[in-house]
Formats: sequence, C-alpha cells, structure tokens
Amino acid sequence: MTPAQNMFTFLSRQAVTAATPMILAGVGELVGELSGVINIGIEGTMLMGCIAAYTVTGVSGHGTVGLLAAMAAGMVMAVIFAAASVWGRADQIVAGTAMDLLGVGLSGMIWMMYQNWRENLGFSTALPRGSGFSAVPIPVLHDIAYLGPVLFDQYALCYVTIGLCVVMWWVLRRTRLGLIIRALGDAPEACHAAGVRVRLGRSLCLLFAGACSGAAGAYLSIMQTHAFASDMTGGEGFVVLALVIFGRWKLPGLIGGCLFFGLINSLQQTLQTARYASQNTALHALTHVPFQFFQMLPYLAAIIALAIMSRKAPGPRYINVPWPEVKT
Amino acid sequence: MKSLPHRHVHVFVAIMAFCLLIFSGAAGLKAAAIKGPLRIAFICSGSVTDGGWNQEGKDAILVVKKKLHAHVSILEHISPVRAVDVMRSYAMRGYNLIIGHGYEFLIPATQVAAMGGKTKFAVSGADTTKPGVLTLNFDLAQPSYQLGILAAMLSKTGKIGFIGGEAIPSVVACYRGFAAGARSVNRTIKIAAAYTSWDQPALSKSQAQAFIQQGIDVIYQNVDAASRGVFEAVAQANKSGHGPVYVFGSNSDQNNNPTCSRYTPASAVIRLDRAFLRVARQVQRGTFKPGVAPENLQNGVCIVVLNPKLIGSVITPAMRQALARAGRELLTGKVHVAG
Repeated sequence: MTPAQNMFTFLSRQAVTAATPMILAGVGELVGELSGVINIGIEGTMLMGCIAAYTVTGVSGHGTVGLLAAMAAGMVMAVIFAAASVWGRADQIVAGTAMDLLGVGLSGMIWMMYQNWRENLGFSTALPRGSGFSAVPIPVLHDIAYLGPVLFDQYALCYVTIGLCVVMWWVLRRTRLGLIIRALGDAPEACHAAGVRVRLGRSLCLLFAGACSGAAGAYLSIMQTHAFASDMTGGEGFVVLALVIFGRWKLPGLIGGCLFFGLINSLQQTLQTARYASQNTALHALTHVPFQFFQMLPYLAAIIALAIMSRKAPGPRYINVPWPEVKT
Repeated sequence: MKSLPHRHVHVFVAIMAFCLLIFSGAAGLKAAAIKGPLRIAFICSGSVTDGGWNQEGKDAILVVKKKLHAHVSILEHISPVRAVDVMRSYAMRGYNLIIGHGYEFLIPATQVAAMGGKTKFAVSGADTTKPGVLTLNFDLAQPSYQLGILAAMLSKTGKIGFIGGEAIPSVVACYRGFAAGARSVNRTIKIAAAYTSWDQPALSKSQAQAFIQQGIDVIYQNVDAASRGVFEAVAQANKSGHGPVYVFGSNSDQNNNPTCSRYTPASAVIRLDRAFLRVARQVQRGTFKPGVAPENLQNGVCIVVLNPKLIGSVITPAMRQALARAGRELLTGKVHVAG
C-alpha cells in the first residue's frame, strides 16, 4: 500500500474505533427517544458503565463479567430514570440532568472506594493481565484490502454493535415491535387504545437504552483503554444526543453521524502530528495553525452538520411529554 | 514632688522603648513558631483519585501528616469560585497552613491572605508573586530537557512527540524543555506536539496512535489520568511489531506502570512531598516567607528518574553519561531552559 492508502486505512480504522461507543449508546438513546423519552443523562450512565466494568473486571478477572456488570449498572440507572420521568412524571430534562450528575459523582466515589479497598488489601488497581478485551481480528476477512483492517480488526463489541445496528434497523422498520416503539413516541393514545401499556413500554425502551449506554462505557474502560479516570467519557454522551438529532431519529443517519464525528476527530489528531512529522511542505505549513483549531474541528463540523441536517426534522411528537397527559 | 530633669526623662523613655521593642520582638517570634501539631488544609480542584496531579498532591500531604504528626484536612472538587469561602473558613478555624494545589487557587489565596490572620498560604504550580502567598513554582522544564536528550538518543526514526493535557504554561514548559534537549543532540530531529485532555484515556490513546502511525517512536506525555491511554497505545504498538516505541512518564514516577513498563525508560518527577514538607516545616518553625519558591533540579524537587530495569539494556552507558552531563550543565547554569 502507498503511504496515502496507509493513512486512509488508519484514519478509517480509528474512526470506526472511536465511533463504536457512540453508536452503541446512540442506538439505545434513539430507541428511548422514539418511545417519547429523552434521556440527557446518558453521559452519567456511560460513566457508571465505565466504572462497573472496570471494577468488576478488576475483581473477577473476566472482561465478560465486567461487560455484563456495566450493562446491569446502565439498567439500574435506567430504572431510576424511568421511575422519575415515566412513572413519577418528572420533567425528562431535569431528571436527565440529575442522572448525569448522579453518574459523574457516583462513579468518582466508587472509584475512590475501590482504590482504597485494593490498596488496603495490597492489590494493584490495574486490570489483571489478560482480563481486559483486546482487538479480535477475524481470520481471512481482516486480510481484505482496506475493509479488512477497518472493519474486521476491531474489538468484539464493535462486531456486536454492527450486528445490533442491523437487527435494530430491521426491528424499527419492519416489525410490529418497531411500530409500537415509534407509536409510543408519536401517538401514545393510539397505543393505549390498542391495549399497549405506554408507561411499561417506555420503561422497557429505557432499560434497553441503559444497557446500551452501560456497554458503551465498558467499551471505553475495559476494551479501548483498560483504564478508568473520573469523567473519562469527556462529553461523548452529549455528542450522542446531538447525533441522534443529526441523524433525524433514523438509524443510518445516527451511524453516519457517529462515523463522521469519529473520522473528523481522527483526522484532526493525524493533522496535528503530520504537520511536524511529515516531509510534505503543505502539511508542514500547518505548523503555524494553533492546535486549538484542530481540536475544534470535530465540534465545528458537528454543529454545521447539525444545523443543516436538523432542518425539517421533526422528532417524535410526544418526546418529553409524560403519559398520561394532564389536560389543563 | 520633685520632677525628674528632662534629660533623665528622655533616657527613661528611650530605655522603655528599647525594652518594649525587644519584648515585642521576642513575643512575636514566640507567636510565629508553632507548638503542638500543625494544622494543614489541602484544597484541590479535581478528584484526589485522578491518578495524577491531585492524587499526587494528596499522597504528598499524607507524607507530611505522617512525618510531622500534623492534623490534615483534604478537600477536593473545590472550584476557584468556592475557594475563597473554603479558605476563609479554614483560616477562621485556626489552620496554620492552607495549600491550594494548582494555579487556579492563586487569586483566592491572595484575597484571603489579605484579610490578615495567622494562617499561612501556599499555592503549588504557580509562578507569580502575590502578597501573603508562597507560590511553589515546579520547573519540570529542566528534567524535560534531560528527557529530550534521552529521546533523541533513543529514537531510530528521528521523530519524537509530546502529548500534553492542556496548553497551560507549566505543560508548555515541559514541551519546550523536551524540544530543547532533543535538539541539543540532533538539530534536525522532528518533534510533534499535541494537546488532548487530562482525563480522557481514549483520546490520548488515539493521539498516541496517530503519533506512532507517523513514525514517531519516542513519546513524552504529561496528561495525568489519561496517561494510561498513551501507555496502552505504546504497548499495542510494541506488541504488533511497530516497535520499539518508548514513552516517558511525568509528574510522578510512572516507570513501573503495569501496561508497558518495559518501554518506559524514564519519568520527569515532581517530588511534591519534599516541597510540601519544607513549607510545613517553615510554618512550624516560624520561618515561612511569602514569595516564589523555585522547585527545580537544584533543590531536588523536579528530577529525572530512570527505570532501573532498563539501565544497561535500553539505557546505554553513553545515554547515562549524556544525562549526567546535562544535569551538571543545568545545575551550574551553563544551560538554561526557560520554564
């Protein structure tokens, strides 16, 4: 491969790696929003997934157990949120903000307790060797030119995410279940009339979203980095919220948005490096550009794309409207 | 009653004034020195479990507690806005020393110090003189210079890189020192710099991967809790046959990190415990003086720590000699690195 092809493959692979947790959390958020509930606390849920996965993997020595714990933690967060916003009829934005703060604070506290506990026992807080996940190249497929390293040399959860996207696309577009999910957000009265329990349906959608966000957190802590740090999600949960709107509440749009964001981020990191390390004079000229400009690029691109794509993009009609409605 | 002659009155007043001065001076000294356990408050803006700057500060203050049998109060997640109230509260409760751990506490400390009282204020990681406050100016530029020399000697590709958490003066100084050291060995060496985040290991990992993809084979990172991401990227690169790729630690001794200690030849270390201990002792003895305290190679607070496991294999005798020579030049002022 030529250096340019090498670079392109690298950028694409990095984009897929970075986009995976956003897609995973985004699929859950999309289902939740389609059912009429917006959860702006996914950042906090992801953080709970991060810490649950890391600590349970650290103690059990098995990444799979850690991943399941992260999903369970996400579901617990979802239960609390559903209790407040669906059953308690609290404002979803306010309840979501509370969930975000809860996740940030609780994950930091658990981390501190875990560190103290391990240190008192004389154990390291690092993951036991071999317990975290590594990239799993799929034999034969990962040798395919370009596509191989990009799609088939990823973490196991990336393959699961691809499968989940296919299944969810089919479910939302082609099945009765998909129709009910969309109807929960667009016409809850119709669902009610048809005998569908709206609050239960919305709660189940939130449970699914919680599991997805928890797994996304696990991806960050026990797959991509094998590390935990307070606030390690770095605002990814909020980016996901924006990307659901960017994708006009449709799965292909959401996936495209996440990949686009990941690609721009990967590109800016490579440009920051290439301007110093490359022999290319055009790239070398970029050394005078402040690094903040490169860091700004993914967010700038997201805002521009959001402004363009979100026009004429009505969301679910009953989003942030509790059921049953109180007519005044 | 016969009055004293004027001359005698003057002598008497002069003697009294002299005695008063002597006694008040002695009393002042007596009040400045502290008897009983020292009471120290440690305030930081982040989490003391961040695996970096704040955690090191907490560990250092616990060393002070142990060595001086001091009473220590640690308060984390304090924003500069809240810091004034928090510091004032500690001062009113009779704390002898308040340490604000980070540049962001300089203004709050100055404001509370201006209110008077016996409490002493120190701010770590600041380099500005403020009335009533002792600022601890950690100069990692000097050990970074030495790491630059090591990086240039280790690099096979002639490309090295620096990743910082944020482009604040103390971190930029590390980059400058690193670049100056590397260029003192190889004038044409290519040095990349990027800034990511203090607490996002995934971001620092992808940045390190971008470095490695561009042929960079020695990385100096100063990203605190996000450093594990860089270590992960380096470990993966060496595992996949990209290597050898090396990484340097910073702030604390990260040579023994569990991810890639075999590829971490050295760290630029701030011995916070030394600096805090010295300040605490000054307060205890009544010799505390506000101003800027340079914490550097000269007083042994900011130093390079080599990975003992890699001496002889990765770190050759020639490299050690070059480091020692650079250390001498920095100490004698023959080489000056702007901090």
